[in-house]
Amino acid sequence: MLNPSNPLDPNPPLSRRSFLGTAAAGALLTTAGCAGFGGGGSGSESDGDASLTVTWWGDASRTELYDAALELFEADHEGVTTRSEFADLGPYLERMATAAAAGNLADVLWMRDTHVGRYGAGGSLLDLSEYLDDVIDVSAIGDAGVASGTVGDGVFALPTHYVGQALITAEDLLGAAGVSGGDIATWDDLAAAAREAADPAAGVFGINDPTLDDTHRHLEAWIRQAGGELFTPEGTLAADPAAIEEWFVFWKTLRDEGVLPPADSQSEANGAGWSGDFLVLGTSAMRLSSTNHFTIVSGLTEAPLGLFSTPAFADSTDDWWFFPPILISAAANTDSPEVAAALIDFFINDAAAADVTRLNQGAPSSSEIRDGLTPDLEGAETAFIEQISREMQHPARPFPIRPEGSEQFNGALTRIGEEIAYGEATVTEAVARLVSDAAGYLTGS
Amino acid sequence: MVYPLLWMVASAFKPESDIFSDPGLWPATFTTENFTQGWDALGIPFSTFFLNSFVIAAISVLGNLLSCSLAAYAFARLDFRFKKTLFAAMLATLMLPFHVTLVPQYILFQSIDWTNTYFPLVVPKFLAVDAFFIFLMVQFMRGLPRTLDDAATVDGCGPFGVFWRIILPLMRPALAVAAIFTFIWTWNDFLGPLLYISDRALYTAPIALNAFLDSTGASSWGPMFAMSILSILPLFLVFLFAQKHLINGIATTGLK
Repeated sequence: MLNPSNPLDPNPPLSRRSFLGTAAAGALLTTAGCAGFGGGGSGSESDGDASLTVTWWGDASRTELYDAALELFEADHEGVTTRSEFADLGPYLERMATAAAAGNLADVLWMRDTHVGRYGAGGSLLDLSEYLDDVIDVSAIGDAGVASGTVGDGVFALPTHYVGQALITAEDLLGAAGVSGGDIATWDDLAAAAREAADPAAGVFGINDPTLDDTHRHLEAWIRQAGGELFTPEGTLAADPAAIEEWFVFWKTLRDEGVLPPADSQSEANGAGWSGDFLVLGTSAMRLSSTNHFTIVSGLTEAPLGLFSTPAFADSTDDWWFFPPILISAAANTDSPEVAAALIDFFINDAAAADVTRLNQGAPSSSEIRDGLTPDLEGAETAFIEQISREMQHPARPFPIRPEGSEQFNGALTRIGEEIAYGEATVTEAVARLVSDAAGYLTGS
Repeated sequence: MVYPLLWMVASAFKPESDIFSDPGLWPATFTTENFTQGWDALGIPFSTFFLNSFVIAAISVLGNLLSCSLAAYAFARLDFRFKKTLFAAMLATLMLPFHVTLVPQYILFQSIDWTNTYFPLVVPKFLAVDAFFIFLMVQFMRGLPRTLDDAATVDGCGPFGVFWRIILPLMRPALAVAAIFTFIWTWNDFLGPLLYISDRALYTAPIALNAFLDSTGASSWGPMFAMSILSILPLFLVFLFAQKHLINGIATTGLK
């Protein structure tokens, strides 16, 4: 717009027309965005009606299943409406932390076993004790199931699913080396099989590197097999540093021999998710994994796969087995505690809900639900359920609640795994630092 | 530098199985399935999330331009008690990690029932919370001769009149920089919408893109890459048309 007083002015002043135009655009945008300026809030209850917010981690495909299950719950409970929220695990935990601090958690939320200690002890979660047996039937999950969500004197979560630890094998690559996954019973067997199957010239690795994973359940298995525990009941570090060192030395030896993928390749593959996994791509003969991942991997590759138990020491304790729970909780700030408890019971015990959600989060915690689902399963799902059910027959000493700080410890394990894999620290130095740092955040109750 | 972008574009046109197994930029099997799958993956057309992001970004731009220019004018041209202290406090907010204010802000907005709305994302923009842009505009204004202000004052302009008629029109480069960066940063903002928005229909583009990811299972990479390409188009267009102003603005904000 020219300045009439000075047509050559390169920066003409703001005219009334320009100002009104800008204001009109702003008003239009504000109006267009008014849909997002409505009232907020979450669950509420009035005159017998209830509105629950339910949240879980996962992607849109999991949400589709669980939304369908919620519709079944609403159909059975007149006056109850539900609204779901979801996010990938990392953002989910960030949002949960912020909402918990504000006392604004969703009415019903899925909970990690690494976080239930913190939120249960912090008063963010509803104590479900008064609803057990009355509203929530725990007969099918047993005392062990109730114990998995017990923090102090309260029951703050219950398991909807269990996962296990497993060895997944590419039977064609192992077979080419004259080995079968069924022959692997001990850690020494695993190392020998990985060495046989590795073919650097063909770009085939013996086994994925588990020390760079985000979770370290197999390290915990290693420690429990030797009779130890990762954490004390009081919440401090219980594991013998020597045992942790032996774990990292075991894998460093294989890495140095070229049996494992190089550290940078493994890190890159981990970042790509399952689609970029070496086992899926046919360039690794084995991987340690959660049992439920077998169904994911089976869907991504045509190669014949095997599902086997985690190797053990020749002189392992008999009762080292453990099954990390996928937990469900209710928020202490919920306006509808009894309806929230009923929803928890629904997800644990309802057969119709299980028919919809199936094995999406692992093996159902209820033995009755597992038995009811099994005839309808096929292929990888059947193998997964049968594996879990078989392993659950083993004796299993109590699996301690993850203490506050356990998630940090998990991250520290990944960090020192990277330092060792990239040659930035020796195993002894890294583990010493891990144990020393852990004293700062695994402070116990 | 461009390779990651080209790889993402190429991957958007590959079947899911080829994305990580075929490293080439030219798809061995060309498909547009990722776009069709990604568009309706959340049960809501992806255009809804683009529109939501655009509305938040546009209102944020307006808020920042109005509030930060006013605050900058006060610091650059006016004299008042505790001006230096307030200026230092404003700069100090730049050094505050966002983690420090995250929970208190959430508690504040939750207490006034603003969660699950856009208010926490846009209202602060009208309160001059972006110290970076205030500082940028202060520096620009310090390069404008005071004789202009004096002349306007002699002609009868009060402080607001000087700001509105003299200073603001001359600040186009700085305003352009603030507008472009505000748009880009707001469009890409993930944490704010993650914390405050729970209704799926109110999701912004970054939140909707995150819905394709499942770090505990199998992510839908193809549809995510497809929708990501569409998500960065507005940013690309904004930068394309405004880069002249951006470069001018950055060049002149610190110089006389």
